[in-house]
Amino acid sequence: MTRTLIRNRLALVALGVLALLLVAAAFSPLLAPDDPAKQDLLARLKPPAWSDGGSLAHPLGTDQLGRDLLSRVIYGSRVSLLVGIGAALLAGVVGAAAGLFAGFRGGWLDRVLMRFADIQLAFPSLLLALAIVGFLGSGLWNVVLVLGFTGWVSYARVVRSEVLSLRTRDYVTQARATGVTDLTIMRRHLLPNVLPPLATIATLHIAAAIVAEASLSYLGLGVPKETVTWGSMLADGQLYLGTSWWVAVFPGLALMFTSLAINITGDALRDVADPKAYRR
Amino acid sequence: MSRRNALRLAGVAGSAIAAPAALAGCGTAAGAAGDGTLRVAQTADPTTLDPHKQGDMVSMNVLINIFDTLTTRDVRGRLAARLATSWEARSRTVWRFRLRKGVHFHNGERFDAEAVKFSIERVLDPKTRSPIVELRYVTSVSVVDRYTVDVHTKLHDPILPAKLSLFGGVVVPPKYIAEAGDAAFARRPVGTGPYRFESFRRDRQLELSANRRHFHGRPGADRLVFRPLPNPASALAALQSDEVDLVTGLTPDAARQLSGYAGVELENHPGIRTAYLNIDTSAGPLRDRRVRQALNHAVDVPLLIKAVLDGKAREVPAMIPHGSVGFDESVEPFRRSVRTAKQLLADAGHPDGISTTLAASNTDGQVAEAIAGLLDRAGIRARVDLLDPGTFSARLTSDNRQALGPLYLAASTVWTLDGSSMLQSNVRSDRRQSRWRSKEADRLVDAEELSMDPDDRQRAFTALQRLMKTEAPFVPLYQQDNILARTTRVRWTPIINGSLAMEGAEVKPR
Amino acid sequence: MSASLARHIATRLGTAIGVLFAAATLAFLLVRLSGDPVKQLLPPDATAAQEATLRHQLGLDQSTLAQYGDYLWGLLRLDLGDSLVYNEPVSQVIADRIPATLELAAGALVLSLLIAIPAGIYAAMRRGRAGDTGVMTAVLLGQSTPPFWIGILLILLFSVQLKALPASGYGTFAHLVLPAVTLSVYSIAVIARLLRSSLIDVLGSDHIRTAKAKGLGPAKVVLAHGLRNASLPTVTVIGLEFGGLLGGAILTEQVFSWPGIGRLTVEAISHRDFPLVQAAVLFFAAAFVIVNLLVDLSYSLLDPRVRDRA
Repeated sequence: MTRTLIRNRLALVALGVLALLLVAAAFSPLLAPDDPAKQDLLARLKPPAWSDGGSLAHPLGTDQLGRDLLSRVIYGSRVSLLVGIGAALLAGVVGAAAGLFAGFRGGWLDRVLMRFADIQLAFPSLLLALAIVGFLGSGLWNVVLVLGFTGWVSYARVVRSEVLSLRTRDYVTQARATGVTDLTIMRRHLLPNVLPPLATIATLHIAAAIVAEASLSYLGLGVPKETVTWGSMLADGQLYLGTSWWVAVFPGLALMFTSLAINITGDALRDVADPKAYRR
Repeated sequence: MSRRNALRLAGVAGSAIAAPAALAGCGTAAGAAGDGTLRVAQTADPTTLDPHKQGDMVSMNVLINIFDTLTTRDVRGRLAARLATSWEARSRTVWRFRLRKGVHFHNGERFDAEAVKFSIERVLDPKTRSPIVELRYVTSVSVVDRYTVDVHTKLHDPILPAKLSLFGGVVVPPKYIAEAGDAAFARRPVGTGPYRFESFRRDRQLELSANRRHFHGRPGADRLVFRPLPNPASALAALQSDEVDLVTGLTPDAARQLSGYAGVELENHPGIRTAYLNIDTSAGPLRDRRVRQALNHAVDVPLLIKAVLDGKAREVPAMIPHGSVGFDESVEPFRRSVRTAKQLLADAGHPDGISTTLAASNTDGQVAEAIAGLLDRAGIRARVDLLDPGTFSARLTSDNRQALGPLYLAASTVWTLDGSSMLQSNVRSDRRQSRWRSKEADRLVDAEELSMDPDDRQRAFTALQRLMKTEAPFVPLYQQDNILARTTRVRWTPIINGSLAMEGAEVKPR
Repeated sequence: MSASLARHIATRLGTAIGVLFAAATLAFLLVRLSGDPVKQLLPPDATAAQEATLRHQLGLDQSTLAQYGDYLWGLLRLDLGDSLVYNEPVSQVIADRIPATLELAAGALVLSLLIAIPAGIYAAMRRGRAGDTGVMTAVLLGQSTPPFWIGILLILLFSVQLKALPASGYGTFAHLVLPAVTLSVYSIAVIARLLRSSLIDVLGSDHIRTAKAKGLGPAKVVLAHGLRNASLPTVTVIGLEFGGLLGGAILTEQVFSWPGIGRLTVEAISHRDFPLVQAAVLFFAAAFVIVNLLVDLSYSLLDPRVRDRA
């Protein structure tokens, strides 16, 4: 398993990027040269250090309120990861539970849950997120909740189909016959088996949620301003592209590479979890 | 009046609103940019083309070209004749208007006193569901002769003629509406204005053509096209790629993106849109006048204007903007000083500062964030709560006066150019957005709203502004310039009220 | 045989109607949670009487259940009420925008297929080699980038710098190019990835090995056998992807001021125009359901195994 991962050099690079990102998120206060919220209205839109008029005080320049861009990019990693991982965890827990019960119990519960999934799928998730945030108000946790709850379907479907095939295995039927409760069976025998595909979906979902957060911020329905996020930096910076490209480009690059690295890792995970999909 | 700001476009209006952009589409025959076509960008389409059923600047900007109002503002901001040639107060409750002769609607119908009576009563008729509230003191209109009307009011309304310069002053054709019905009228509006309605496709474009028979002669462009471009960045791109000729209401930062761009010119003209912070004086540390004064000392408005607004705004000392009735030169702005602010906070028992929240529409996000940064220097830690324009206006107009929290950033377009419009919904303690209880202020509002004598009104306004400086129920900020970006083909001088009356705009062939 | 097909079609239709009904209910509930629209439609100094009048006119003074009943009854008659902002029937407002959104979605779909199919085939054939990694990474990069950001960069390059293509507006082919490219990027990624992995699956199967053994060249094998077998899952995903395409259209229309339903929806949400939001949400659900119903039915016509399983 590990060998397959290592063989994939691209995945290694991606993992490196992710490690860097985790470090940046965990140690933002130590790494950032400045307070990401500190404004200097007389030093707005200063270019990066290597351009004319730039200085080492602000290696990547400053934004439209004179805040240090490097510090903001570093702090931005926190929210992006939080939104991504939070949404994936939430969707994973909800989706896995729904999939386990639907698959294992079957019957009306299965039908109801899967019909719910159909309904949910009929709405573009961005539309749903937009409508919910638009009507119920924006905010970091609302965004996490919305992106979490709109993402549960793919988890549920995959878990359900795995469970359907596991249900008839000997060790499950034996456990049932000896009177082990359903919950215990799900926990002991089913959950461990569905974890690998869950991890794959979750990884891809993290990247999707990070991009979705940026999209909501672009539409003005993302997280509050005092929370530094790449999405809102990108949205704010759009206006300044003509004269001060750095305001939008650096958070944009951070977002792109993060999401790319997560997606590549997710692909690699899938290859490990389900070698059939990537026969060599 | 100030409500407009507040209304649903509150947020939008704040900064981006006007960033319209239009693009004339290369494709549709109508939009083809050619000789004599002027393409104007706005942030949105008009909500309706029935002038009595709309109450927002974006709709008004289009309709002011199709219709005429009884009075108008000239380029220097003075109240001037339009469909009415003169007016006078006949008594406390009667205003008499003499009307222009020989004016016809686009369909040939004659404009006369009956049309004025019909129009004003149509606004007042509950069945019309008009959002226009300026005429709330009007009770009826009587026809004196074919070209003279009397407008009767419940109470004395000293600024009625100014209120008839936009929204409530639009005159519509009675016969056409009676024959065609309201719905058809809204689909194909007919007015007396300098441009005739041609076509409207929502989200695409609205086209007008020159009315050669207008009483001011034929307008400067053969065709006038409005295009909705909600996003300021795309409006700029449309201007740069020659898809529109004129973008107005730009924020200073947006305008800066265009400086030095060949073929595009920037202008700024004095404006009347006035921004301020509304303070909830009923709860928490902000009940203390000294804390509110500290806010005023801390928000360095000149720095804000210089750094964030590129100098394209003017400080407003006490809510009433320069150039409007009631402004008093002798009322000076607060002296901006972080030290004084800290001292006042300490005197009020907050040596370590206070924490609060500052709500704003997300279209005003940048200014709100900058203000929070300025407050922070004095130890006032304001969390910026940015709301989408819909939520913001919902809370602004809610019965719960605390819905936007202790502090919020808002702006009003004082298009009547009268201070009472700025104060009407904010100050008197029984008004919907007021968060200040002061018997003295209530008395002064009554005096300025209802006095017949202009000097009495001015005295009340001056006293009110002094009172607001002592009690500090607001943090008055600035009035924004009207910034417009245009291609070099276009010449146009905007009016101070910010409306897009394009009658005088000229377009050179390429 | 044909009886089972009819039964299958009936089941799918029933499901589709059920989904639509649930979607309608969800849309109704969503906007009811948002507070009182009356306040936002009137100026701040409106009187309580004016508010009461408007509330009555909008039917908001009735119980929620009665409103729900009215709403469903209206739906049956295709009457979704009047837009609060436009003062027109919402069905009219929506119908006006449908062509633009369909044009955009169709343009993007065609473009996606034109790029994704060759990319997927190429990657599958060069599986594990540099060409595969290169193509798949490029495609993944597209998937990792927020669509609005792609649109902004395209505008900067092609409209502002090169002045080659319009940055906004609607009407001609030139107007369609940048929005369609922007919208297609995500679908290209999804379709190309799926096609590649299905092809790899198929190419490993027995009858392909047989074909290879018979001496057919790799290109022929892929085209003649692999593609046909890989097309079924791909078609399904295109149907499912249609929802994503519509979601992406919301952003794309915003960036390019495209006069479609996505932009209309964003504006309706921010104006709290609840009849319009309800209708827009329903439109998206209906579009998705119809496309997938068609995909599903054509699929079962093509492949008897599917219908028998059902």
